[in-house]
Amino acid sequence: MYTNIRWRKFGKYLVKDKMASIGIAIIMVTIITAIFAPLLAPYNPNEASDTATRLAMPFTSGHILGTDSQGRDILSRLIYGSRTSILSATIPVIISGVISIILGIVAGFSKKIGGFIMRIMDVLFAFPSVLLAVVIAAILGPGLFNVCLAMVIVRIPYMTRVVYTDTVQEMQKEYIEAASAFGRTKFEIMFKELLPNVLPSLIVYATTLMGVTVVTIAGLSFIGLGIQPPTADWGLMASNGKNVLVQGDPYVTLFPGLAILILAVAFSMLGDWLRDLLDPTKK
Amino acid sequence: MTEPLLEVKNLTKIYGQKKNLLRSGNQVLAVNNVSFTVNKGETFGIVGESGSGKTTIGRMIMQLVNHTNGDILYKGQKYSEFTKESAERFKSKVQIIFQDSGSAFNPRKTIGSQIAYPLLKKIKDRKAVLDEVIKFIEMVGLSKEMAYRYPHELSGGQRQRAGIARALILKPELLVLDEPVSALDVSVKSQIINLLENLQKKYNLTYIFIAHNLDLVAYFCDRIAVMYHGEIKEVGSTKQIYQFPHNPITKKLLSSILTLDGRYKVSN
Repeated sequence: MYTNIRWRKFGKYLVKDKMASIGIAIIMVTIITAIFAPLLAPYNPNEASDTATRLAMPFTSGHILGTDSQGRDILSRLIYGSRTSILSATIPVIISGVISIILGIVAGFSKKIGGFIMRIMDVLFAFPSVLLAVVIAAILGPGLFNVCLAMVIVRIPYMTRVVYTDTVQEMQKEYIEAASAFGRTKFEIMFKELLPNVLPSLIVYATTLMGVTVVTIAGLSFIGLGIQPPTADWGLMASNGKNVLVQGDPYVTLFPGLAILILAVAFSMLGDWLRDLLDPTKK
Repeated sequence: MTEPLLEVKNLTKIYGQKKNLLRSGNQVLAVNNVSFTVNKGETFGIVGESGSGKTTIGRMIMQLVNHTNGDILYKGQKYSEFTKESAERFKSKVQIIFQDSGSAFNPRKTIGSQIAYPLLKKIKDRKAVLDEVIKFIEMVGLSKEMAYRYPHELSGGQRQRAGIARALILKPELLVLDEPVSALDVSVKSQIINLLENLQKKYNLTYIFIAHNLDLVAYFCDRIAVMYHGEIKEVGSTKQIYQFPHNPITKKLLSSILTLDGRYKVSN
């Protein structure tokens, strides 16, 4: 009765939901690849193996996915690139999600504090998010950590808005009044009654943001603020490939682009599944 | 009758904010200078059309809404003079049952855990709490498996029973029934009313019964207050109200009761 019975049905849900199984499998494979990158990669990702094999086509001369304009093996760079990609996709979104859920619930719960918090969010909203990220990253200086920090700040207003709207809606319902009538403290109402009801939509939103964040960080890397070359990163690889794209070598961009796409879709499948898992009305 | 359990004196509630530099004043007088007493062991009915302020009175008695003016006295003690301890004691002695059982329970928590949490604050022993929850769930006529269900898995009547179990678990003296059956269909309605009557005898409860029509109130209540536009127009025993209504509002409400053909007058 006290424990959440739904978590016991975890496995059953997973088997039933094929899309979710695929999504989770993709994410697991990416994580395993990231961890065991040195064992899996056939070449050194940052070293041009041979000047003669620049821009090799896929399935040629020992490079399964070909080489980029500097003769580096694309497969190896993809494998190493999964490290920064999975980190930069998940960590900033999770951190800003946690901050947003606290800000959003408090703002929705208390009108006075809420007005203050949401006005600050409006100020952040006023700047285009990429521009804001550029400014923050430029102030902090280049590097993966600083770019992630910039992404955290940039995402907070959006996620807080989602939580805030949901919280205001839930606050209208009688169970909140009932909870306070039956002796719940304000803190308990916020984090035991409201939280389970506003979390699902944030999870869905957060998982879609994960895909977007990979791309945005790639953009920041492209203008020299994010991950510094020659570090392998999917976003960076896709951006670098654009120079040779018009010359008739689409593979340099295609493979990292596909990798980002697949990971992004996998995250959104995971999000949908988590939402259903948390919803007791779904069986 | 014994001494009054609850006294309401000149109670006034104004919603909205005063006019100031930034806001245009938009005040609504929800409850205007209302006074009544509720005696121990009786059922006091508050009747009025929607928007007449009856629910607001219930909320103020529950301290869910602060009153603007006047006093509410529980066992002779003013709400405004509650110490932290007496407020705590008061909270367990006065409970509420909501109209819409569908939204009165958190949709993402099991019924049992929601019945249990008021008690868990007092008793740390989880096993004892569980036993108590099961006891109350069975007492209101539900099977104990219901404790593990989610609100949407129960019918309206079952949810309302669970609501009663939740309100009773702290063994209150006064129960505010905020239109407890108006969302239920007729057969379930009478079951719930019977349950409430039995529980009143068993636990010597005092009820404040808030309703929008008089037919049910006539059956259930000892004394009735008729409200209109935030004011009490008439207070009296059920018999008095039914047989010798003075106020036109009361007469209007009485005439709106649907009977088979008008011959079946409600007798007390």
